[in-house]
Amino acid sequence: MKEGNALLYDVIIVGGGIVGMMTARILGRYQLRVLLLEQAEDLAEGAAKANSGVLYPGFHHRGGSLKGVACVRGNAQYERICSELHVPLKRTGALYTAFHPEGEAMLLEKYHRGLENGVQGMKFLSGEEARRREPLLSPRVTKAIFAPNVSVVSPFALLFALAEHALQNGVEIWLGTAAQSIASQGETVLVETSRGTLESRYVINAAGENAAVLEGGVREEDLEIRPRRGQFLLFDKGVGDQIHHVLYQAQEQDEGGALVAPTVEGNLIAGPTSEDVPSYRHTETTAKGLSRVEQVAKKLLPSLSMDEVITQFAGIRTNIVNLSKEQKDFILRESAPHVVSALGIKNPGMTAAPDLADRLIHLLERQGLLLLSDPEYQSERMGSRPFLQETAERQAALFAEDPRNARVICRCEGITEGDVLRVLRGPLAPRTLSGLKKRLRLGMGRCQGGFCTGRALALMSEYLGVPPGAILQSPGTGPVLKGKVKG
Amino acid sequence: MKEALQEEMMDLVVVGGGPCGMAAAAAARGAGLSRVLLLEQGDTLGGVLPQCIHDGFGPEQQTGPEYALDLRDQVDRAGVIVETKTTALHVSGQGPYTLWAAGPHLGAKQIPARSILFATGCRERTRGQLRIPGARPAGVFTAGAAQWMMNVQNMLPGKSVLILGLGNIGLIMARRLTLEGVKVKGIVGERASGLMRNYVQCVKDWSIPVYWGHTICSIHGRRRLRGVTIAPLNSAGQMDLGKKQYLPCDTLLVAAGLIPEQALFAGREDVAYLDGSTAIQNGGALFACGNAVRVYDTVEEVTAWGAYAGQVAARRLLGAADALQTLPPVGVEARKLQEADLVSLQEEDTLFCLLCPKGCRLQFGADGSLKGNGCAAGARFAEEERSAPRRMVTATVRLLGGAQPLLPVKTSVPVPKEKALEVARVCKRLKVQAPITRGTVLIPQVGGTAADLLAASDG
Repeated sequence: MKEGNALLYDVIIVGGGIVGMMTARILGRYQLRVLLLEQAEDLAEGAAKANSGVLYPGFHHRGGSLKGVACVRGNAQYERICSELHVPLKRTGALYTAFHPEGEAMLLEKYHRGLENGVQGMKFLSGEEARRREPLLSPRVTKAIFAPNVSVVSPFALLFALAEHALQNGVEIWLGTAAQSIASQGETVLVETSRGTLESRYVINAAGENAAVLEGGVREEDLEIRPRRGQFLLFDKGVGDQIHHVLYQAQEQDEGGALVAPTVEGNLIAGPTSEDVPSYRHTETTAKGLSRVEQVAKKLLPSLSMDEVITQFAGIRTNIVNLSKEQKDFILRESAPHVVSALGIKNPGMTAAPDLADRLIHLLERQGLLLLSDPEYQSERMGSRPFLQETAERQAALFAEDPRNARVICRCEGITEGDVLRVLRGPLAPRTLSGLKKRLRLGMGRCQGGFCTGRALALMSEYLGVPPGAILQSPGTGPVLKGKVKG
Repeated sequence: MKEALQEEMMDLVVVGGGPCGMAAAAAARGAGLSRVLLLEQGDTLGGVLPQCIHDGFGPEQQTGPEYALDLRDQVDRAGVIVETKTTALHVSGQGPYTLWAAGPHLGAKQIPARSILFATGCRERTRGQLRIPGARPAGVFTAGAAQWMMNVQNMLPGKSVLILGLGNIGLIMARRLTLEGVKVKGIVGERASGLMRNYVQCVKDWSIPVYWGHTICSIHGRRRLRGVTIAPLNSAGQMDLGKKQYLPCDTLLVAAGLIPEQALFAGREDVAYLDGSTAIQNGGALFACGNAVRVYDTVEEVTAWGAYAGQVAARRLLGAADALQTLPPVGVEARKLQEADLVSLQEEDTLFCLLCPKGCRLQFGADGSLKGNGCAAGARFAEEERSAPRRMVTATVRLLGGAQPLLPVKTSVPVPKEKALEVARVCKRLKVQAPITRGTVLIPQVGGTAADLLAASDG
């Protein structure tokens, strides 16, 4: 039962990032009319675009803080979530390593934080023991904490699967729709958007970079949230298989929180840096930032070859700047009657997201939101895997259906024309090249689109009925091409 | 053909239908193997040759598409089983082997094979691998990808282009873009790896600025590439940022080298690399050859090594004791671009011969006598180059009703150098109707020259 007054939603979620989407998916279980608004023309254009994919252990953050506790609890939910969503998750465990006595002292501090936040199964290891688990680890490592509760996922795969699952259970998702302001009406909330005014009984503000300003419409604006950039290096497939854990290090100097991790696809990722930048559009990489990431990566893994780097990128996270380090935490709060906000969510935001979503919904329940189970709720995401990852029987059926299912277009990631067409026909179908990349990993491999870009443009052009020259590289950029060579 | 592939064991599967793979498959049949399968990912055999529409391939200085068609004929005549649009995915087994492949003709398939030859060619080094920092706007391509889009797909990568890399693909693309009316803002290169003759015909002829000894420090632009910052490298190989400069452009082509594509067999230790550099010891029947092993300068070398590899594989399988003593081909002499030669290019009396990759340095004495030519044709070339230089023009024309939107074309003979752009303009306007066979005269005496415009491929 999700119909009702066409103008009135039960819940509007502002922001299709990981927290907003996680919340949308949970609300899909109930008899509610839910709408999620995302300002970008596609999902994963914000912080989710540049995320290490690591599900954090929860020992980094102040003991008893929301960050730390939500991180541990959120993390604990992921195996179930990923299994329901059919998203691959690789449990790696983590080593937090020390290189010197000061570092060993930091280890102890992390250990205590971990205990306070509820991290289970941590163990101290000597340098030798750590290297037995992780043979390529630096001989300089003197001690380490092992934490078993760390896993890696693909942030893209996760976000799109959450969205698809939410859609499957009746949640509406509007892309390219910015919420400009909200106004509380007592029993309802008006949301002014780029597509007109909407009315909802409740609003969840998970607008990331815009969350503080949006909240300013219903209460005094007390938080200053500024962009902080993180740069990453990504190494070729196979390199990630050489290590078995997510590797953290006790900083010797100002090295930021950079880590080295295997990705779920077998790549290796290193980063991020931590730099304040003037705006959310500053997603460029810098020589200094990349060399810093390289330093940390080589400190942990001295044998790592920079020749295996296939790409680098940067993302922006939100950082509350007008609170002291001791006060800083994720902020979830009732902003006004029927409005709740999530503010200053950065790492470990993805890890914490399931718990943050539960808490946001709980805050609304306290304000009277009634959660009645929807008998039609489907707990498992329907959806397909790329052709080459299917079973032999399914491959035979797909091939019989359309031979293009077996035509490989992206050799590095094993994606076929049929996979592309399925995505173009599916829900939340992309209109840009990066949309295909985020959904299928097309062009994300070692050739970085060298062999598939032209083919992908031709396929998109044919399917969408637009000239190849009209296809954008991503929602934030211009067309890939400058038209035709000859008319 | 599909039936023949069913469950029966292949003697040899050649992975990759470029010049190396085509030569290898034909040679293996010629050496006595009966069931040789050649797999190619593209729509047709040829590998990168169909996009290399320029001339200079093989002893007859053919265009890439012509060279590919001739090799394709050899493959057909030899009775090789060919599957195009088919991608090899994975190899398992210790001999006999199983090759996992997929394509719209076969579906997902396991092909049993007594031996496999990897002729998988190269991929291009990317901006990401070079770790060039900066923004990520639209407009950054690898040069080979841009070449394929431009020459095969009729897609224009940009209008104001900077090229990174003084290798052959970078040089060739500089001319190609110029002939299509695109502004080439310059070529930035740390060091040269391309051939001298490509430099002369593709860069010097068109007065394209070369930023020798420079590299790119950063990429700028949000929606579209706006420009790049470059800086010279000092003797320690560090960027001298005091001398950095900004070059506006809407497109960057990265032509910074090729990397042998070995993903299919990288993990295995039982693959014999046939490049003459090491003695082949192991007794298995997996081979790798051509650019998949080492990057060659000329297609002649790649073809010769392919043919050699096909023979080695066949003799190994047929039990010839001396299989690996088959004589490897000799290299082709090719003059690489060097800084010293660039200096002598400034001199009035020095020329470089363009007739073959050897690129002889030709020098006129004060008395008009010629030194340095390696053959009589070189002497004739020198005279002509000094008085009335001529160049082949290769281009594409719009093909209507064909499988591809473009048809590669060439002049029947070289045309006066100053006429090249006019011929290219004629090509830009010309539309032809499929079907067309290779060699068809599309325009006699094109652009008022003595040359006819010929179809350089079937279309």
